Amino acid sequence: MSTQIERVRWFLGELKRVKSGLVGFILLFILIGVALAFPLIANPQDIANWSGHGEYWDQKMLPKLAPPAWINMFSSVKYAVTQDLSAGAGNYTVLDMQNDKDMLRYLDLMNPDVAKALRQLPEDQRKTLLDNLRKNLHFRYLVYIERSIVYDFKADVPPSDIVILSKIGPIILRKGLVQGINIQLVRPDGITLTLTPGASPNVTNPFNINQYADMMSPGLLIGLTIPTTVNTSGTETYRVIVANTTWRFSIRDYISSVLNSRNPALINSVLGPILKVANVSIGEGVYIDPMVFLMSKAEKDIVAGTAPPLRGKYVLYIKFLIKVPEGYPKPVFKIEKAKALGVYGLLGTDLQGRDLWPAFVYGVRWALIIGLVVSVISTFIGVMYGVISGYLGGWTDVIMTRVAQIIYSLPVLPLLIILAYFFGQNIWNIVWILIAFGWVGLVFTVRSMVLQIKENLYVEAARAIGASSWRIIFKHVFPQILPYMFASMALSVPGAILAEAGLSFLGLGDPNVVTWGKILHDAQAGNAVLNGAWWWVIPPGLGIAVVGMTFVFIGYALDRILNPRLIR
Amino acid sequence: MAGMGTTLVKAVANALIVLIVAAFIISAIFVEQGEQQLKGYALELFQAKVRQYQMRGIKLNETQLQQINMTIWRDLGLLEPKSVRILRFTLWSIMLKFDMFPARAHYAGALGNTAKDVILAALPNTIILFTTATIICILIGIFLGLQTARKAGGIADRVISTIAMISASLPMWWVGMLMLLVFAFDLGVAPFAGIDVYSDLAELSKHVSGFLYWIYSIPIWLKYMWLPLLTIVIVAFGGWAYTIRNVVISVMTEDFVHVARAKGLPERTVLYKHVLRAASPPIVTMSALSIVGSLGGAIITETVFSWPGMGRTYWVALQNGDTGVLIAATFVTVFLFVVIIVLLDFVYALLDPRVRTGMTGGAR
Repeated sequence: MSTQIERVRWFLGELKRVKSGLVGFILLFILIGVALAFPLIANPQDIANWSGHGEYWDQKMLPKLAPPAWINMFSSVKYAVTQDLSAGAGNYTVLDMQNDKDMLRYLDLMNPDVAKALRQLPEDQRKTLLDNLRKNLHFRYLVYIERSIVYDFKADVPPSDIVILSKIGPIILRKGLVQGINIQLVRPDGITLTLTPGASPNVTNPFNINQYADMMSPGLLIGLTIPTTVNTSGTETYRVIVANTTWRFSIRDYISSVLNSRNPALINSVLGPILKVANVSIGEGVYIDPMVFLMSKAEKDIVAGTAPPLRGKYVLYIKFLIKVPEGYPKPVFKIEKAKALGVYGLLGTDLQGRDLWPAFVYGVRWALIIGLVVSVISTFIGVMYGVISGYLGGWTDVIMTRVAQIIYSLPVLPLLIILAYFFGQNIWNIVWILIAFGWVGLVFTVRSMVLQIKENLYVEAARAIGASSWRIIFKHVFPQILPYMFASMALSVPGAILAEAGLSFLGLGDPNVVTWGKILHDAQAGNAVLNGAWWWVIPPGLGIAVVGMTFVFIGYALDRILNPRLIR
Repeated sequence: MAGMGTTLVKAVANALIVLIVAAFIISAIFVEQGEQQLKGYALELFQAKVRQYQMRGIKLNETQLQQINMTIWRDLGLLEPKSVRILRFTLWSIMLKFDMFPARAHYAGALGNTAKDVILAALPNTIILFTTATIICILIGIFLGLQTARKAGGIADRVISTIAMISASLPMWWVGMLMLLVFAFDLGVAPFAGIDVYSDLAELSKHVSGFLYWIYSIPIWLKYMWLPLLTIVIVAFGGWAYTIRNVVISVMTEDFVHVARAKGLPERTVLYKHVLRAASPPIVTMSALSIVGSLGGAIITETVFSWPGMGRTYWVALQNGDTGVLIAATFVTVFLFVVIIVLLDFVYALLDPRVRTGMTGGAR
């Protein structure tokens, strides 16, 4: 026991001399620590839902292809950060048309003269007249809903999008039941943009339907991405926004669709107020970044996108005026989440809006597992093969060497790819395939070492006593190879990791396991390089390089400590 | 020179055995691999044909349908039993009759539709990129290796060793992606896709021809290849320098070097005349093997740079189940590899009587 401790102490003493080895072991401990600490420093759910159908990540509402948030520390230009937006003032008012007071109030707003005349009439006459008027109404309740969100823009580069996730409905879109929507963006400079064409820029009377865009106007709800369904009752067919409909409203997408409509009237009705102040017009086929346009000062460079940013509080109002027929439930409009999408997190996001940090951290685990399992098993096989071939000699040796030579002459990567095509789709199959090709490189060196060891006197002596071949191999030959074996194990780790990464990069890896190679595959498939998404490309490759380097350092150190004869 | 003939015969016989077995393994693997894809492809063709008839309003009976299917299978070579196909591919491979192999997918630059045409188009592209890069690496490696070996343990030596260790664990294709990010995306001084070289060349051929075309195409090739070339050299030179350093150091401890120094020869002469000459056999072996190895291209690196070489050809063939091209591309590299080993053995046997009776020498 004490000799064991002494040995370890000796080894550690030696390690201090070989600096790169020390670095290697420190790195290895850090890597193992990171792999073990994964559930603490990242959300395991992110990995469990990594390759799902995207619902999980849709729910998270992360920006797509967003650089990491810390770039603001190094950049002179500050980017807007991804953040949740607070709700501003809201309103929910219901007028019940069966209630005379509410009815009069409605008439006050709609037709003041009639209301005034009605008020002067005696009670019973007024009631009759009101009842008559009610017959012409197609609804029971008039509901006014107002919600708003506030975004305080402080950066230089506006967010890539502002997204609002809400629940809405039920709203019945029947002919003759004119209902309104009015979405307005009030900028810090006081310019108010009316995003819904047809609505009035300044609403003085929330119950006046003429101040809204008609919800039935063609294309409006589709443009706003409010989902509707067709409902049939009797002979009548009408559209409905069903109860609890999820409405995801992206300001960027909406403004883009307006700009792409090539409809000058539409563009002018939405963006006109800014264009008027800036005294410019949008030419045909000019590309405009919607968010930059919305959040820049109204100056003449705004179309080129070079006007200075307009910082301050932006308020987005969403107002509805809904008519509810008798017997139908009142509508609900509730903003569940509102986000400004900008730079995000520790490592940014990919094209599907997935957070790259958990994937990167998780990658450590598989890099270590693949590297270690493949190198340990294949080195062991290679050493045993070489030892047996070299020790037994004769025809066994000839055949074994020839087999190894044939395998060695086959181009490895093409065959790996073929086999991965056959048996891939499972990470452990890939591990076995890597082992199948990983062992052969060692055989030749080990064999020549064994040929030397075999000639030693003590081996001959052991043979003379009558020790069996296996006993000699394990007692006398194998221990001599051990130091070399350990060094080779460490040195073959990078190769295994690189091979797995290469296969995953080509899309031949396990689709359900997130490895660094897979992240890089996604990056290549998502044109990360063409989009300049360095945060998607650099970390996984750096991870591969660091894990590889760790074992290369350890391998060289082991080689120098355990095989002092090899120091030249 | 009595043993020379036997050594040569043995070496060639060995090589032939390796080649035959390799050809068989490669054919078997790729025929097996292509089987599923080919059958799927046959089914697609069949359905498309049947749909065509349906569109024209022609109704087919069972035997006619079978007839159509048989024709498709015959065209794809699926009618013969698998073993026959494997043996035929093996035989053709050994005879290097790649013009017998059909190429079904589209390959950039290929003039015909046999595996031979595909390889004749891809191999030169790989040579001008990968072989050039390998030769540059070897030259840099010899220079740096000699310099660092002279002062082993010095700063330059440590830097080179560290670079070698780091680059051993760098995926070349990832470095390629980084290079594209920097030079193609940020700086805009390099093209993204190497394959666009063909459209530039086609544009050029409209204006000039003959010798002038040849001259003018050089800058076009350079424009597309400098970035991948730089990538390969950056990733590979460290390893070369380190290996050559080790070889040189082991030579430097030998007596004749001390003698040369003792004679008062300048260090330059000692290094480049005496040491390099003695260290050249392993360096030549490694270089020859690497140059041959470079002919296979690099599948992933070529994919990243969209370089129309052997590696990308292989990848395209694989995705299209193009068995013939796959076998040809793989076997060509194996063939060249084995041939160069035999040649090296032979050369060493000629030069060094000690090796004459030994096993295959060189890098192993």
